[in-house]
Amino acid sequence: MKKLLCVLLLMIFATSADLNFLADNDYQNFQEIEVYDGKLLSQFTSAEYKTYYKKIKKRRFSGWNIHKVNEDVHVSYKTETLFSYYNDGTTAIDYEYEYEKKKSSNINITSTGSISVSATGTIKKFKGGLDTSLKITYEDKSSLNEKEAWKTKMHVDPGTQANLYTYGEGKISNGVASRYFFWILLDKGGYEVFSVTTQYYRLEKTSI
Amino acid sequence: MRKIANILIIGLIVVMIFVNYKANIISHTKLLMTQNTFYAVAQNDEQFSLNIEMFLNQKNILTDKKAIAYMYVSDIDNQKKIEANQFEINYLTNKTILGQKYQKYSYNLIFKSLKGDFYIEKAYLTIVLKNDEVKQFKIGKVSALYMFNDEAESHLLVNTLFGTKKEHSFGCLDTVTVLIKPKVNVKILRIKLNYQDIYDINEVISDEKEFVIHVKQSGIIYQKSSVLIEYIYGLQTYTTTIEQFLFFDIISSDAENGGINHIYELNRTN
Repeated sequence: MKKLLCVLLLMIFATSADLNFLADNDYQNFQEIEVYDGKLLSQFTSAEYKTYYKKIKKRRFSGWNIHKVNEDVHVSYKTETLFSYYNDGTTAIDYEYEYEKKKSSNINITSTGSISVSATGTIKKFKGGLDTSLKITYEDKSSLNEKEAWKTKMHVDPGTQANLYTYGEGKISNGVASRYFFWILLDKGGYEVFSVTTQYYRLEKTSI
Repeated sequence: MRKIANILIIGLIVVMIFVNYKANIISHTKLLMTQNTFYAVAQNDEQFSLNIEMFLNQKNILTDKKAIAYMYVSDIDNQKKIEANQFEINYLTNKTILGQKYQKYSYNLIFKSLKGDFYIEKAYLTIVLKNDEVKQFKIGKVSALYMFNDEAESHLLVNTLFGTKKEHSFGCLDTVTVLIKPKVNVKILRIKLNYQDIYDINEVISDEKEFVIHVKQSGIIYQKSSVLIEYIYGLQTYTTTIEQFLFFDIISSDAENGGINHIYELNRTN
């Protein structure tokens, strides 16, 4: 009977699906982020932290207290210039640019205080199960290695600079959280989740 | 008493195994998914190409180039049909769509130039295997505009090019902005994105001018497009073409739009 039970338990494990949640963190390096009707975590004042912390001070046996300050606030951002091509010669040049997608996770995170973020390579996520409490769903790590490339041809006249740059839209959710275990405070601080929705490409030519 | 308990435990475990099996059975079915996409490309005097994206949940004979005899794009009754004279299949990435894990592949089909505009309103990709099996999948719309008298940017320059996405759409172009700087006086006849989005301008420009094009399409993925500018210089009509420009990329969406997906269950012989 015991053997049968062991076999059946093994079959449960074998038929269970596995999930792997991952994230990376690079949105703080964006050239510019504009937040509509809200604030970034980095813009929270000490007085605001003090007010928000009052809402998460109730001790509990185990788990996270969360106070959401901004939820799914629309943001726009400017990231990087993909290329700049100068033609300081005397003849026009036909230039073919090939862009290989460097796809990053749909979710980027950051934290303050004692809430920590795991740092395994470039992939990061909140420690202590805050991700689960915030119901964050990350893309699978393997989906980040997209090999797609696209080409665009352009004509660059003498004395002209051609630029291709990216900008986009996303959503920000942030707030404060505290974690307890046996009614003892373990972690407390701010969290922020930045979700990229759309990335745009813009071609511009200017005189040098 | 102990026997009853054991029987109950075993019964419970069997139910759990059955639930797990039912939850995972979909992942054991061979699925292929295409997304309703607008393939808007330009054709030069020699050739044009289509990059068709396909999603498969398992490795499959359809991703094996050696197993494929040929491929063609057509309408449902083959009244309009173009056969690829070369093709490549490339794995791109893994993707989870509507809870199902897929491997995303790019089918790059190269066609001989038709030297004339060509379009298919409801296009299908047909894959003919060397074992004579034929598979057909809906892919969306195809437009291949011909770049006649293409003068690159010798009479005018495309100084700015960008687009916006239709609000609340899964990934459809809303507007395209083109800033044209003429080198000589030219009469801009029209700007064409595809066979449906053609904007008549008929305006002589001698200085830099911005044109904003409002795209008619919706309910279809339309992120990459060709941009053809038709103009008159002297007495001759020319074209300046941006053959392919990616206007935007959807990184994540609030809702994965089921309406754009065509999911095919492949039979066991695949």
